[in-house]
Amino acid sequence: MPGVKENQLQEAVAFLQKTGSTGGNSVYEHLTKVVWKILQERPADAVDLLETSYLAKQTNFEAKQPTAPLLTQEQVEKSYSKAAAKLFGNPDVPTDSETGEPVESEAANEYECENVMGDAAMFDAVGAGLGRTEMYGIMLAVKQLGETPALGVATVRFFGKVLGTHADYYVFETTLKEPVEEEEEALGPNDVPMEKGSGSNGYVYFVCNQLGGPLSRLPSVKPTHIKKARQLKKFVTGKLDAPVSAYPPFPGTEAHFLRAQIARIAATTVLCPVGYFNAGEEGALEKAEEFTPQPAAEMGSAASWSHRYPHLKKQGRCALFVKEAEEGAEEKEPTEEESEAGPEALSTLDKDAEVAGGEGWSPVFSSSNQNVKFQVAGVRSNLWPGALAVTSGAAFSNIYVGWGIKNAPFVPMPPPPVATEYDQALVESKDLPVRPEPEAPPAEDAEAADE
Amino acid sequence: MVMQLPNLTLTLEALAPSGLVLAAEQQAALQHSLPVKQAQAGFKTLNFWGKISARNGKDYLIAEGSNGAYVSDKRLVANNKYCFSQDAITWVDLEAIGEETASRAGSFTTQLSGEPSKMYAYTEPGQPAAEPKEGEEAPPPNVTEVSELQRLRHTVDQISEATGVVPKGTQLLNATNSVVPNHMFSGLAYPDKLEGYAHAKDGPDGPSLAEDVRGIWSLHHDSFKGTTVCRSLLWPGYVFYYSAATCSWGGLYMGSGQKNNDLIFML
Repeated sequence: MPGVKENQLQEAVAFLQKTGSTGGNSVYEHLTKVVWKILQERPADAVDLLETSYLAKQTNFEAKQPTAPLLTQEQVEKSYSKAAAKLFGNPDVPTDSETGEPVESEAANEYECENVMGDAAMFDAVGAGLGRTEMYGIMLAVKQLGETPALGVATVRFFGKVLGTHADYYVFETTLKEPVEEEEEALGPNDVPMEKGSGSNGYVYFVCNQLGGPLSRLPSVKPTHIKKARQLKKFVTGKLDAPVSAYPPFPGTEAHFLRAQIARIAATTVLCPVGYFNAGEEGALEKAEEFTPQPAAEMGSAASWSHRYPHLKKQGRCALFVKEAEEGAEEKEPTEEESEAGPEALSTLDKDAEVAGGEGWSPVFSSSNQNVKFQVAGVRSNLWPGALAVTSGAAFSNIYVGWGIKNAPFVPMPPPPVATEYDQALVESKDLPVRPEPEAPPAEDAEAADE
Repeated sequence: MVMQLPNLTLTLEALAPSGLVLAAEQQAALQHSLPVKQAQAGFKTLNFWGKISARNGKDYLIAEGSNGAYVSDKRLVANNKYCFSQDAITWVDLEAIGEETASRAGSFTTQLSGEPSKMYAYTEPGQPAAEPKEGEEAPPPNVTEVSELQRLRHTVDQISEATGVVPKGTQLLNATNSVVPNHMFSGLAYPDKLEGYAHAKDGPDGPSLAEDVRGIWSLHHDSFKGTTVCRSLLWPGYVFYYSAATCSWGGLYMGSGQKNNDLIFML
């Protein structure tokens, strides 16, 4: 510029380079960026774009990101996502490392299961279940459980999810092709033996903490576990081998406690529409030959549903156990537990007891408008919050998603009575303490005698 | 981009594995009915708060409206308004209740019936009446009525007070002491610790969840995906999530509206 002295120019540049007091940026630097941005992007109407200057300043800001530590390969391998991803797609065919030819692996197990995604759509319609994404993973987990040859299951049903304080349990209800071999129980004179392969142990349950993660078979339930579990109100932790720290003490680990809770939940909340099954001999259910699904409006009523699984008695068994009188002994009166008469098989829900001053079951519908066609209808349990049964057309399904806690007033057990004081006079013992025998020197003859 | 408002779709997606699922019809209806209600009532924001289940199956959906909060005398003044709906379309204001009504409503512990017009009889605790003399009638007990909606509002207030979790640092106080979202929030440094989260009712500088009674929160953190899910054990049904990857968060309550008073025996 003519007429401007060198030192004036330098002074001006120095002024422009002075750092601004608030932004930490100088006018000079900022104008440089504006010019650079215009030259980079070469907009046709650069002069009109007064905001260009503003844009340069706006994009200058970079928030400080918390530095996430890079994951190690081991962490990736151990991650839940990695395990869940294995459920998807076709399995790799194992190949012989020398010849490169595929190795024949064991054939997949044949099994039966329900239409999990069809059920998921029904749960979604009434606002229950676990969402479509998770239910898809469950469908694949059911497939994995069914196809594993080593487990040899005949049927699989997704029972539900028991929420825990540290991890959750996905619970699968199965029947096995080969019955579980049970160890002999060590029973006391007043103990009640467990049911083998029927009643409360009619199904075998598998659980996993994560879909695609390792599956564990829960132990069979014993009457004593059920009786003790009824006295407790407790969250599960998510670790099967964790002790159940509670009073009165629970005879087993969390696996036994979880199994007892599942037995209680299943006996009360697994339902089927009235008329779908007929009660055969000895409590066995037979599918009715003709079953006409009721309209959805009817299926929200408790009278339209019946209990599918046998009633779990106070004794901790479904079928009562009466101890046979010993020969020669007088016949004893059966105790209160032994003479409990439960409801008939397939009894309807309207015969259930009241829960907390109201109906035991509440209706659920997929729409608040009764005239919507193809509605999904069902009932949800007020006794075991989280348990629900829904139906649409001829399909019906049950699910439990909850904390495994019964909705009943909880009265903690009082501590055991204080032991009575020793009421005899305190007398010094006349017996002298036993004199310790002098240690015999190692017998040298013993070895000789052995030979 | 930092989240400005809770995103219901993301929240429902993140909370479904904990059993918080909204019926398909309700989710569809909310997309239309909430903006309509927001415009009619003139709220700055109207967010879905959760669902309180009712005995007759007609659950109460709750939405929380706000016109901004500010801090006065070191206390947060939020003045949140609540609306309820049973069909996800018609939203009705849920009137605030006074302290006296709240204590009466708090004496009922049963689940709500689902009939908004239902009245509950509340007998005032008082001096046991003296034995009536012969020929005189006993004085009638001092009975007041508490409506279902008062109970509903009391439940919502209780749950909001005890939950309403936000990640620390997502809100700021501006020069006029109003609470504003922090546009420069760039994620929590320790998302796996309760110290990273606080109650919205305490304002931006409130204590963290770690200062609550110990054991009432169950926090699950997946370090691989950077997601945290935090469940209340005191109010089972309240679940909160935070995702470091998308820098989003949200919490909902879906339960029976009953506090878990037996928690001490259950851990």
